[in-house]
Amino acid sequence: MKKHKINYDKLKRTAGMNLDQILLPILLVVILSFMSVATSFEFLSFTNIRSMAFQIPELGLFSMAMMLAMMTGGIDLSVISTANFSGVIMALIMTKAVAENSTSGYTFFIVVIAIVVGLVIAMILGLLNGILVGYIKISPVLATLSTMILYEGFSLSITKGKGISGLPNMFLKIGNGSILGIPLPFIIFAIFVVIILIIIQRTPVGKYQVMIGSNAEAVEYSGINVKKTILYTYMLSGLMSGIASVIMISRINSANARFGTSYVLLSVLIAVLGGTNPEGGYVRVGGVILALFTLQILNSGINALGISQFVALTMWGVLLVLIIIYRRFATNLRNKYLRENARNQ
Amino acid sequence: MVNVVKKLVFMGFVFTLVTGLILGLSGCTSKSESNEETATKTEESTSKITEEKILEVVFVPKITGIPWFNAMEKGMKDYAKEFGGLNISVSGPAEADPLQQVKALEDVIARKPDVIVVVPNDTQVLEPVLEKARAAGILVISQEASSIENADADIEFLFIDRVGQQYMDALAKGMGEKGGYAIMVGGLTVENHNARADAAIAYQKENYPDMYEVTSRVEGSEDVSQAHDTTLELIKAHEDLGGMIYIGTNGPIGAATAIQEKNLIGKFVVVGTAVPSQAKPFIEDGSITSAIIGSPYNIGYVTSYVVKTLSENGMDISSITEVPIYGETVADGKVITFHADSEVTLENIDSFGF
Repeated sequence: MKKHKINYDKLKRTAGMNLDQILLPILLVVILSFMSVATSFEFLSFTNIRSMAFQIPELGLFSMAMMLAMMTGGIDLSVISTANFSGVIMALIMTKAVAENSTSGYTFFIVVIAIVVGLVIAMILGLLNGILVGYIKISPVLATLSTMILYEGFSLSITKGKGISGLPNMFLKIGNGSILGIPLPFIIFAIFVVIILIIIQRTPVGKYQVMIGSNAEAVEYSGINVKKTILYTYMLSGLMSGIASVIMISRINSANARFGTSYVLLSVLIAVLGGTNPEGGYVRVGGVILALFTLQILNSGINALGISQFVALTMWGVLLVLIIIYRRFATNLRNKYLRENARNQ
Repeated sequence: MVNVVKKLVFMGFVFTLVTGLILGLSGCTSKSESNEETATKTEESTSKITEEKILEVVFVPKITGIPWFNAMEKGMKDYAKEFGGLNISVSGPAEADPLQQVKALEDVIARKPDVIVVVPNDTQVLEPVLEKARAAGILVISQEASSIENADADIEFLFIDRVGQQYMDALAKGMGEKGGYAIMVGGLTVENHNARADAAIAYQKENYPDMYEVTSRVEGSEDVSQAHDTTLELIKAHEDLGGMIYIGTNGPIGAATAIQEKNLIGKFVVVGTAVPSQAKPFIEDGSITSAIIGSPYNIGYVTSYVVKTLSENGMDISSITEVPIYGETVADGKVITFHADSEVTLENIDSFGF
């Protein structure tokens, strides 16, 4: 009896420990060490780390937006279109209202208004996704694929395919400035990561979101308003896209209907690599951040070594396949233990 | 048994993975080796002449891995091999997305090269990051971005007037200098295409009075099937249509397939911009009368010449009045223009490298 009990504890520990949690940090350290050695430690220079810190936030926020939708068992393919539309509106407001000779007080006012309007629009677009997925119950892939095209259409009809540039200098500081050497976009990104963490871990809405992802029906029966929670989720996802858009358009001083289309799949990739279950019900913000850093390091390292981007793509693919296989085996192992566990009890 | 199969599958994946990693790494080592090789070579050749510093030049194309930029890279490297003083490497996005290009540039700037040669996907988008590059003391030389602000020099390789003239001369030659023609552009809003069409028409009015436009310009030259369909429609609608100019590399291909179908080879003149390797079979059977385009290899070669000359003479752009291969140049502010477009013939078709 006693022996059995010890065994049970051990099994419980093994089963309780998610093997992913070990994999990603190891991977990050391995890749970072390799790149550092290969570039004779150039890679760890302040300039290079700063350059990476400037690159991470946009994709990071898009990955967060994607992660939020995915943890309820959904997906948000419209993240980039949402960002571009809100970016186009923000750019339009700023370029129309601010002239060369505007006072700085007035410019500041307009910049704030533009950002608020942009973020509200991004949330409204997210709300629309939420209505389609939560209330009308269209499959998230179909719903957000359609809105992806719809939102891009909105932006295209406004811009006629041209970019809007010449944003006020004050606004450009957001994407290009730094505080104490830390890039401002990175600080904004960090703040929103903390906010998301708090929402997921400390608020009922966050708990419902994860629960919906694991079993929406059961959650419905336990008296939680599933529709509303999904609505909130997509609005939050929209908001993240909006913030990504603020950083994006200020970094490159222009907005366009078709910027960053390659981010859609990258953000799915990072969310999944980070341990978000594509079927919902499991999420790890820390994992997503680790995945994001790993891919950035891999990519910048490959650029630093002057290797073709196609090798980078291949390596990303290899990594993804590796992690999925690893997870598959880890889950099998875990389930086996859990089954034996249940039998022993 | 199932377990054994599983294990085998797993081993297979591990094997693939390891091979992938090894390939990736060997790719990087062999690359750096070859860089070193060229570096030592150039060192040797220059040390014979002067004790000159070798400039680190990073070429950032719109997209990596497409034949146009591969050929251009080769041209740049061949010039560096021949004359020394430059060590050229390439770092660009895997997709033609301006944001990815910004990221590639951020990484390049962190490497602190001496010169960045960039072909922007979107000039406006790149301005802030190129400003950073210049602030870091890197010389920025752009290509095909005459409106750019944050570059020390810009290289253009097309005189609009001259290319319009080339199109029209080829068309007139094919049509016997008389009859109706039409012009197809990639899109009616594409400024550069419209400028070329305007130049061609202006030249025709002056030099070929017996020729005339049967219809105002149409669009579709970026799409093979659209070019094909529109050509057939125009032939049907205008009996006097004897030939067309296609501005946009898919136009002549679409038109050639159309006139092959209708057995009009020799009766209908197809002139325009086309990728030589794509156009080859059509030039062979005469369904494309004349293809006109610049050679990316030569453009790359000349780009390296410009980079070397400018960095040696302290960015004195007006001092460049002539370049290898193409001869005469025009310097206007920081823009250096030469004319690279030439006719693709069966003899020179393989020298284009794309």
